[in-house]
Amino acid sequence: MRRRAESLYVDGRRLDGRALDAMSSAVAETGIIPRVDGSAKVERCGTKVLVTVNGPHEPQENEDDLKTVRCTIDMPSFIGPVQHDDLTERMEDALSTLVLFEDLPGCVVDVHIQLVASGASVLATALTAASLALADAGVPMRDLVAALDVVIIHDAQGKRFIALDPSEIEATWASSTITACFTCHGGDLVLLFANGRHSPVELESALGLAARGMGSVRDLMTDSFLRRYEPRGEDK
Amino acid sequence: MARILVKPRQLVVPGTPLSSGVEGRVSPGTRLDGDSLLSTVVGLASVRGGDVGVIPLGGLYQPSKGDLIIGIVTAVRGTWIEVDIKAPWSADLELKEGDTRRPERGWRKGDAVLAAVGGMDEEKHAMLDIGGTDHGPISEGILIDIPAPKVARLIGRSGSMVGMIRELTGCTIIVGLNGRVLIQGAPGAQLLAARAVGLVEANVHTRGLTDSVRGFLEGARRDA
Repeated sequence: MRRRAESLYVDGRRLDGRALDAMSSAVAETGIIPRVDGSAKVERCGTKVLVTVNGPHEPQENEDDLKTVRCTIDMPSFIGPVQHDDLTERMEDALSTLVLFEDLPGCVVDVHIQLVASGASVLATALTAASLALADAGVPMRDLVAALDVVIIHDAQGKRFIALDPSEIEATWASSTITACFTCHGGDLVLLFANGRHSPVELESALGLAARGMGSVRDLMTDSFLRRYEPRGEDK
Repeated sequence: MARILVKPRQLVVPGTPLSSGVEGRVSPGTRLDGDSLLSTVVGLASVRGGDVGVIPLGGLYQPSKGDLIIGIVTAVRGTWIEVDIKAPWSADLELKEGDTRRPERGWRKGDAVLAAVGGMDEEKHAMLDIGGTDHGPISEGILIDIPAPKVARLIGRSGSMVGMIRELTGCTIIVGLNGRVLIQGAPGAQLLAARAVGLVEANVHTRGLTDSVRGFLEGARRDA
């Protein structure tokens, strides 16, 4: 493991040539599925997530679930283990703080996540896609949310490096993975999930790095709507 | 004095700052955070004088008293029927004894109805009213669903867009503010009008739309 960790960061570059604070390329699209209220697809770091939204609507009479945002997840059997319950619960917590339910009395929103490919940053990619799908459905929201992962990796010399938006291999060898989810315009932290061993100083550095990368996720999200609604023609 | 932070027709997303130094009431699709006006939906910024608003590009219908809507009956419950009006909340239509505005066979699930929103309860359930002219069950024509926020563009300024489609197709077109459009006319003309409505729906955010729709309809008439 140590040999592998050592080779992940050479001469100030990661294996894929990025600097530690550089984002990987990503793709985001909205409104890709007809017959649902909202949909979005996000691909990043080997992870591909498709999210559909139904609602807001009133719950059925026989439904006594008190949740306002209800997430379900589907994944093909060939995808490796992903903590399913954790994922949906964390997403419900984060998304329910975003939707302006005071404008939607008695309503719920159903968010369905289809995990098509599982690489790194599954929770962050799913949250980003869900935020886009909710906005596509016209659900009134406080803000969009941009989520991303930061990993802490210790190399063979005992030094550690902190990398933004990890590749699949970096996520595999990380001693700690931190998922941070910020509101795109306000910059408020709405979800922080840290998995692994790290010091408070490392966590603070990781959060700073995540905050710096947020702008690029926000641009990706906004561009997905801009491409779709790009103005054409001239005023008559 | 409010400072406007967006350009007219600029695309905005939830959280986009629209203006600062704002006081008082805000329009739908926006919210106040301190004295900053923020968008809550994806839409186009509308700037008129010192007021900034958002024209949503998607989303569900929010009922308002007096709206003309087209609903679909989802349940018949004795003295009232439950109607889907494409809002997050269902709507109710009270059935009165001796009411002639009902299908001859009686109301059934799936029937379409043209009605006005008579009022709403605290939880935003609309109470429908079929007392107006032409209100009641719909027995012919085709119904098209479009997102409710796009209805304003289909209607056009002072009804110009829908008026032009009516004129060039010869169809009767009733636009429900909840995003259901009723087209009645000859079968071929109905389909042409439906395609024109589809064209408006797909290009609602573009400029010069009235001319493109006119060009499409005139071209179709020439080819016929």
